[in-house]
Amino acid sequence: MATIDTIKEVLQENLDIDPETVAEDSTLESLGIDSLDMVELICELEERCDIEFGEPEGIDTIGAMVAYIDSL
Amino acid sequence: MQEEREDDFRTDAARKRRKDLDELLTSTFTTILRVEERALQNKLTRGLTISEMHTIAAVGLYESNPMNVVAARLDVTLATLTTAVAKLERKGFVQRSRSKEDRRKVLVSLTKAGRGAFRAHRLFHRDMVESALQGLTEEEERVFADALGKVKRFFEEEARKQAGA
Repeated sequence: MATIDTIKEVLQENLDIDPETVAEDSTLESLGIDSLDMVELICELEERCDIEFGEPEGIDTIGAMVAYIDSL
Repeated sequence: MQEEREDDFRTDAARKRRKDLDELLTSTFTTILRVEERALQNKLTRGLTISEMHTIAAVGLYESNPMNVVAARLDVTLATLTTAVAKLERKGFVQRSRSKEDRRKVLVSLTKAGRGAFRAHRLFHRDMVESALQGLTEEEERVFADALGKVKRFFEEEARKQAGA
């Protein structure tokens, strides 16, 4: 599954965010994702994608998150 | 220089400052704990006590550590840690496993929920320090860090002496 689709799925399941509203250029802020939501999202993605996300700073869009995960 | 300071201690203003500092140290410590306790009431750390939160922090985000290593980090006995870890395991924040190299050794690591709590706690600390120091100039912050560092070293020394006594 493409990374962005996994992210959309997690956002819908955990934070009740409609996948239709999520695009690469969506900012986390515009989606109403706060820092704690972000933690939840990261932990879920680590499990599903079998990655160690670490603690990167400056990820503020969905596209940036996709690029970061794909770089791991 | 030393003489000047000794003179200074005899003035009323200096005595009052000492009294204020005593009060400040104690109340700051208590308030930080209270703020920290309240901050645990979020979706990722709810149901944890501060001491449990610090145990999670000592386990490490991606580490898998022998129990004695974590106990040393927290400066508690192995028995105390074993009780704490058993409780955290029941709550779903940590997991125990046997070391592959040495089957007698028990390793402890964080679960997904544990990593969530670890990160939420780290966020809280970062935000807290940032907000708390917002009112200080860079110079004040440097002086504060320097002075508090000296005071902290004194308390650590005291704690060591007490432990040895």
